[in-house]
Amino acid sequence: MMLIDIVFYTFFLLAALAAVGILITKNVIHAAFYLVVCLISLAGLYVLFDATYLAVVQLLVYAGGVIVLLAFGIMITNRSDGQLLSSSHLLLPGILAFGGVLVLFTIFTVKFSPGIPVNPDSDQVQQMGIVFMTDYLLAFELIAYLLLVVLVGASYLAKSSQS
Amino acid sequence: MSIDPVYGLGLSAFLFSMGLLVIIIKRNAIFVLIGIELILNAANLNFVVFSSADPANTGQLFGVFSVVLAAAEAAIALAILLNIFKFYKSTDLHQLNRLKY
Amino acid sequence: MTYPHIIFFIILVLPLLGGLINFLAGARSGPWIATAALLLSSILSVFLLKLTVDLPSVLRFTWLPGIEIGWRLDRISVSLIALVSFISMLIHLFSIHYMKDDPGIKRYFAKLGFFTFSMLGVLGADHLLLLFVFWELVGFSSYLLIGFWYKNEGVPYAARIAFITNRIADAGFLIGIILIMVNSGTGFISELQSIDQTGWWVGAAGIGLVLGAFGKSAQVPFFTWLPRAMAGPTPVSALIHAATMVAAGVYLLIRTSVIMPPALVSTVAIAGALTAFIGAFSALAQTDIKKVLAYSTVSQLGYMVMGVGVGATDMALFHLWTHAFFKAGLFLSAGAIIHYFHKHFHSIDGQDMRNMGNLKSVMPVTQFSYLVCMLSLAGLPFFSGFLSKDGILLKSLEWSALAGPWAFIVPVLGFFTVGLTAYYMGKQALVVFYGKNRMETELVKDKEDFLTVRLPLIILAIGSLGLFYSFNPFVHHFQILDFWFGHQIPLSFSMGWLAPAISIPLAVGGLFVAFRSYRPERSFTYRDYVARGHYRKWSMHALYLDQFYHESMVKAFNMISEIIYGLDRRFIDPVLNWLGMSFVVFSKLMDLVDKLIVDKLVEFVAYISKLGGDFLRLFHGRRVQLHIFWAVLGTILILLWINNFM
Repeated sequence: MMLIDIVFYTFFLLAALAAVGILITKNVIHAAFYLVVCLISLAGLYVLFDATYLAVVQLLVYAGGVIVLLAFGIMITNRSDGQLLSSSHLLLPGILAFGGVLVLFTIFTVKFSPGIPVNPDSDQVQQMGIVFMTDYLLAFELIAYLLLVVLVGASYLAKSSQS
Repeated sequence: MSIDPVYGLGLSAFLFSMGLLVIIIKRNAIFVLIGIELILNAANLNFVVFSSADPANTGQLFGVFSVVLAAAEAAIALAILLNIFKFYKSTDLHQLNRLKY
Repeated sequence: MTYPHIIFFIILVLPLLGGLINFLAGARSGPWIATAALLLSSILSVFLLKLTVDLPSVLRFTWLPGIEIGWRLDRISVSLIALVSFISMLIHLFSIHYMKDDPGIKRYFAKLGFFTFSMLGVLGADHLLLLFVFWELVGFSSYLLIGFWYKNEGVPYAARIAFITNRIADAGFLIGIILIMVNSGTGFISELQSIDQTGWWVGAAGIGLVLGAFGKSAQVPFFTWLPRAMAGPTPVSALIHAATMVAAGVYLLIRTSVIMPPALVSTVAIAGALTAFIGAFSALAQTDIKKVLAYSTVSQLGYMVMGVGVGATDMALFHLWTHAFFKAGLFLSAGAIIHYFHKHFHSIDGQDMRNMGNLKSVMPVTQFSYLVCMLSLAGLPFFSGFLSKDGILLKSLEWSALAGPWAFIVPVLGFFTVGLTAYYMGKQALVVFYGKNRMETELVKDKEDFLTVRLPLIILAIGSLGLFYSFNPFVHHFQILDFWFGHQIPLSFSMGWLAPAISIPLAVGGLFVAFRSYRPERSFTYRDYVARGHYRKWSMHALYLDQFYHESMVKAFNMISEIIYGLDRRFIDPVLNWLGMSFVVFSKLMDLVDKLIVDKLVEFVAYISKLGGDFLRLFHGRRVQLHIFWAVLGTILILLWINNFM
């Protein structure tokens, strides 16, 4: 067993256990922090799967931005009136869906697995920058516009609710 | 690297199922949002695993788009949640049975 | 369509149109419009007479596939068309005055126009079916006009009697028509002469036609409806029940006598003579001024039928013509009198002759017209009635000489009727116009209106003069009418002067007897008129024929009805009851089946639907997250399904 395998299994288990933690916890704050753990573990896995650029983006956008947003959302909405909102009326349907999806995806995983990659490319960041500015320029521009619209929309929604 | 992609795909499936379970059984809207994030991340992991076998790295590319979209979604969803909370004084999904007041 | 037919159709439609416009126009101008239409019609018909007298004009067209009908205008029909439209015009004119204050005046003139239209149609039709259609229309409009005052007691009954009697007779007519059409293949009257006249059906068809004609013309078995028909307005009686409609039967006999077997024709002659006598006899003791004239009409129609029977069809036609004039004149005079009484002595029965007397002092023109027409009817020389009646009588003498001793009953009855006619007409004239006023109140002077009363009366009186038809008062020969009818071969009878030699003394004698009994200076009372003595009672009730019909036919009918009622009760009712009961039982059973099976079935279907609905409702709970669950489940299933194929 190589060191890299140990790192991989560590991240693997961390991500899976964090997800289970989100499910079983009743505290929203705890859930948010489990999510952080999960996201960072995933970022590590991305690196191990040769997606270094996406790993950086994951850390910046998710572990940085989205979690901060969530934390603010939780702080604003989670009033401490003594009642924790996480009861499980729909436990049975949820578990059914969970099992179904898991079984299905496991089947697909075995079926469509790409196999062990042979020749990983080292200069990913430069290559992706070129692709963004050439082949996927339209999508890139559109996502930029989308971000702008979301920025304006979110601030408008948050502001109008106060008046 | 020489990690079998099956492990990545399996983790992706597990995370997706977990997110779904969270979405379905939790009553708190914040939990639901967290579940959605989980699902998105599962999808991202899938992209990455397949991308590792692809010299053009197309999967990683879409992973970037997906992350950006997830951020945008989180921002808008939280803004809406804020409004809902202002209105209902609660984030209990079972009480959100009116679209228009 | 030829020129004469266009004129004919204009003549035909004008009365109808006049009546219609009258109905739409006001009550004041409407009658004048109708009269004007009739005037135009009669002028046109004289013109038409000139056109067609030598050249019969035939128009045929296909009515239904295989059935051709047609019109024919010849000397007989067109001369009668002229007569009908002219008399109808005069009667329209008189009606304007007579019906002036009646609220139904518009209805009256519309009906009158309708009648004239139908009558002209009868005369112009060449096909038996077409003739029958108009024949029925005539009967129907007669019914309408008899029942004109339908609110008065007895009037609807009289109208019904007239209608039903005609219907019974017309059934025979229709059977006759069908027999002819089926057996000979043609229904054209002008072709009747040339059809093959062998076989049993000729006699049967002849009897049918005779029945129809007798019904319309009020001959012996059927005549009781005519006196009852006097319930209608007097001008209607003058037009329909004296001058025109009742003559339709005679017209039909004249047209169809060619196919009748000789025995039937002889029967017709005897029936006509009998009718003439019974009519005259019944007129003797009548007290109602119109009833006298009605029975006299029956009697004169008997003469015409007798004329057809003995072969004097031309004379019958001539008598129809002259009778139309003098009888219309008599009826209009009676109408003037009735109107006078109605206007001035409302409480007194204006039709009862026992109330009248000395009317010459207040109605001079009516009296003059009445006298002329009365003498014409009585058959004195220099008057038209003498010419035509003696023609018939002469021919009947000749016929009976040829036919055998039994046939002498016809001329004997005919001549006897002459005396009776002179007697009752003289009596009526004396009672009504002369002598003393028999009412408690004084007579009121009232000048008759010239245009609407005096003019029609004077024209009809002139038309009743013998000079108008023949310059020689004793020769039965149309001289002035030659102008219209074309040259006629003078009738040459071997008996020569025999008929006038018998009839003139009889007529004069009748008048003399009447004068003896009812001379002006002799005073007589109501009691002289009350029907006493056997002969008067029999005369008063027209030989009790009506009562006989009532006793025999109505009683028999009632008896048959009783029997059928009994049969009904005995046999048919139980069957019906049983049927009804079984229906009820069946219905109960069906009800049970309905309740136990059909209803339950429906409920079961509803229950299934409800179950399905409840089941489907599970998927659509109010939980948002449940929807997600179902969506995921569906997706899983779809993916599994796809996977199975890959």
